[in-house]
Amino acid sequence: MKRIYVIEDLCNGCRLCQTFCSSLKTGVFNPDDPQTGIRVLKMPGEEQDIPLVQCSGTCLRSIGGNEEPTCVTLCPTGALIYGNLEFARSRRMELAAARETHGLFKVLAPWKWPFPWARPQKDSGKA
Amino acid sequence: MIRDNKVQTILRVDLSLGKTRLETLPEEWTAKYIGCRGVHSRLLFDEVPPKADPFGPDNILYIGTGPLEGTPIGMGRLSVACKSPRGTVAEGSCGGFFGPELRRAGIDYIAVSGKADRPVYLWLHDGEAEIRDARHLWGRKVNETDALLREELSDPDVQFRYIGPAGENLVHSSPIFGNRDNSGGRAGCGEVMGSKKLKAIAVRGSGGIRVADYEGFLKAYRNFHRRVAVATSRDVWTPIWGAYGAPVIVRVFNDQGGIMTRNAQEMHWDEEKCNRVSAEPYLEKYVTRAKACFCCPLPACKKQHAIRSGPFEGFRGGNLWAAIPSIFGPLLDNDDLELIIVMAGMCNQYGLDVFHVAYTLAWAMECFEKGIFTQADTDGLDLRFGCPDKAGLVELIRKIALREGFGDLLARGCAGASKIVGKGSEKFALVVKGQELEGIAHRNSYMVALGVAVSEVGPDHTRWYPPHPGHPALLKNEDLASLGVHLDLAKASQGRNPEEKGKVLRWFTMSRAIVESLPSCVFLVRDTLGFDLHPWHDLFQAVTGIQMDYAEFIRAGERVMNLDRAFLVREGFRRADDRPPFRMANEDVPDFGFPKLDAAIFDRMLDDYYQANGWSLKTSIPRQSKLEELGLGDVSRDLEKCGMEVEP
Amino acid sequence: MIRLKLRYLAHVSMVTGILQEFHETRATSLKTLLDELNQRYHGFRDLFIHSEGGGINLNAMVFYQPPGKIPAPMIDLNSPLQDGATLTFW
Repeated sequence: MKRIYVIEDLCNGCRLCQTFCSSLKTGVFNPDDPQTGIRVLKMPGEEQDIPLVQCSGTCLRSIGGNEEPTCVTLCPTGALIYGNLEFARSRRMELAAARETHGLFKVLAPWKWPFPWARPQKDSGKA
Repeated sequence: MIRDNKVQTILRVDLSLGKTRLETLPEEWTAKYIGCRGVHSRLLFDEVPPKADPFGPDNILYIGTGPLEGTPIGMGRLSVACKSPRGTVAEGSCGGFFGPELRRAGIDYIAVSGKADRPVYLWLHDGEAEIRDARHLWGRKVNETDALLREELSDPDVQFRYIGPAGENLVHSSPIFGNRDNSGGRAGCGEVMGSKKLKAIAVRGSGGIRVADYEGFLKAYRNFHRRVAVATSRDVWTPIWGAYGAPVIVRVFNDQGGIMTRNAQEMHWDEEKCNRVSAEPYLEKYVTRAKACFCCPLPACKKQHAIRSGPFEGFRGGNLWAAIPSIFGPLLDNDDLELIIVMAGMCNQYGLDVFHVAYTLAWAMECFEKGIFTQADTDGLDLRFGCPDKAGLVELIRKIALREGFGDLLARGCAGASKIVGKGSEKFALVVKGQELEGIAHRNSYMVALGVAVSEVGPDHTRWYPPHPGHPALLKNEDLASLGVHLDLAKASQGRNPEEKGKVLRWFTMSRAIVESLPSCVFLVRDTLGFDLHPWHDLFQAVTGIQMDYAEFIRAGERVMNLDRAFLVREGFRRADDRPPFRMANEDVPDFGFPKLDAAIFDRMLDDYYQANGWSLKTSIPRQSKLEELGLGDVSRDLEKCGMEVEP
Repeated sequence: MIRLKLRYLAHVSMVTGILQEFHETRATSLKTLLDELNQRYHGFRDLFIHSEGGGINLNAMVFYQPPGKIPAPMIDLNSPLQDGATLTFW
């Protein structure tokens, strides 16, 4: 069963998800609309931003097509994943492996980065 | 409350009387000036009288946003504007989340006049405006103010703008801060806010923004998004600015003679040192997470960082902007990236402008090496280039904000300080119109030199950023011509060819004024969006419902340019003030074979710029015919009434 | 053989693992140099050239700096390479 999974430490707090979602039914952008399917909680000092999903994963309007929820399509960092549990797990592992190799993946997910990047050989110390 | 986007509101705050009043602006302003920066240009000209004391009650501080804010195009942009203590326009923009919250609270602009008799802050929420006591916040650093206000108002979504101790102490060039590490208005908006004893503004709104044509908006948004997203943008800067890290420019510019080293005495730094302070080590060692402004499509234009070991262990902060390693690195001959992070972080925490601090320190270091200062003058600090006393420098930044000891001299800015010190030090104070430079070099890029010299707010690259297309192969002259932009792009891109510079600067200034008035973010002027404003035009029409010819849309940007120039000349500035700093105009670059920026070459570019704009070649005052063409005949009459020579 | 200085900026350095190097080559044009570097750094060529169609990527740039001159963008893949030149990839 597909639903929206969250990788919290990739969230940069932009609220594209929350803002767009709030408008899909009414044409009004209001992130505080109680019907909004996803909200981003901001921690004091804005050190962390935590997306809270309150929807089934069937999007009112998939802006990217192919049923992918609009929030997932628009999330710039890849903090939102749409799929089943196994898919979400594989993404997590992909992220963890990518982070071993490059600092860039502290700020976005490897599946959102469209350029080639190398992985070092395991015994070479540094690539 | 549901906002539409045709009619804009302004909250008048008179701090002398302690009163507030919400008004609406004339409906036709949205088409004529768009909003945000554009409306501020109009308000400044209309409401701040000529020769007003910048620290007096007649100076008005405007904080506002425009009709596209609150939609995903606004990017949280907010304009802050007032008359600068240097006499120029002081307008800057910053991001974060204040702008959308303000609109959702029913307010598009705040205009603060008068002065409070004790520190206050404004608390704005859905139709209510309160002036509250801020004595418990006065003296607090930026992070402390943010935390205290959040605790007091106990809502994680209240948004703030505030000043640090530097603004309170009227330190030269202090900006206004918000979301901790965002800032704007370095031409003096923070000083003016401090002079009014206004410590902070807090806002919370519950309203929504309705766009006039939602389907049209979605279509226009997709078109825009394709050009700015990392995966699809045809622009070399998009993956760098938006994800990897713009500070890589310290390596890009070094080979081009574009890195100001030791107060721009040289224009090239040791390559290994550049590598040590660039985005590559920053990203690997210090970045902790990405941060973004409201609805930004880029993953990590902003980042947070932490130093985990060493002498500065525990230091945390964010937003190491593109030029920051360049100004706290080679400009001071410092290759310690951690010191750079800490110095920039100190500026943020104390509410100081990084460019003021960096260039004034560089000036002071050159004075020290030339024997103009000794350690007796600098409170014992060894102020040589290379930063031998790191802890002492960090402490000096605190002293600048608090005007203590040697910091009090530097708190005047390097132009102000050099007037006091004399001994030829004026010649290496790198300022235009009294304001320190930014991070881009002049003697290898004549368009930059021109753009910095003519800007009505003092040096501000965001007024014409980016000064190039997304990629050299992206657009041909014919493509530009079909967009109504008539330029020889090859000549315009040649760094030390004065041809086409006036014309291309005019286009960049006009088009970026439009983007900043919508508002949206100039860091999203990528791909073809710097020359093709149709996507912005489509978004404007879909959001506001106002149908406007494309040519009329462009004219709004030209109107904003002319209002800024009219304010500047009314305050007494003329052509003679549109000049590069003394060093760039008189000293050759020692390596690279770049000569000084010769006056004859500069004057030719200035002539071209004024000519293209329809301004007097003699004075830079906009001609009557140009003002009337723009529907600004009243501005022309006002200038004449002030005794100015307005050519036909 | 010619000797070039190669500099790798930002995300290009993610593919090479290093920031810069000196490189001896028989490559005579940018295109052949990219092919050669692609052997050593897998994926390098794809940063700069479309895998389909072979045109240059417009989200990347190569600056070419002959000895003693200022760097300039290199757009033509068949541009020749001079001994002692510096190429900056970003």
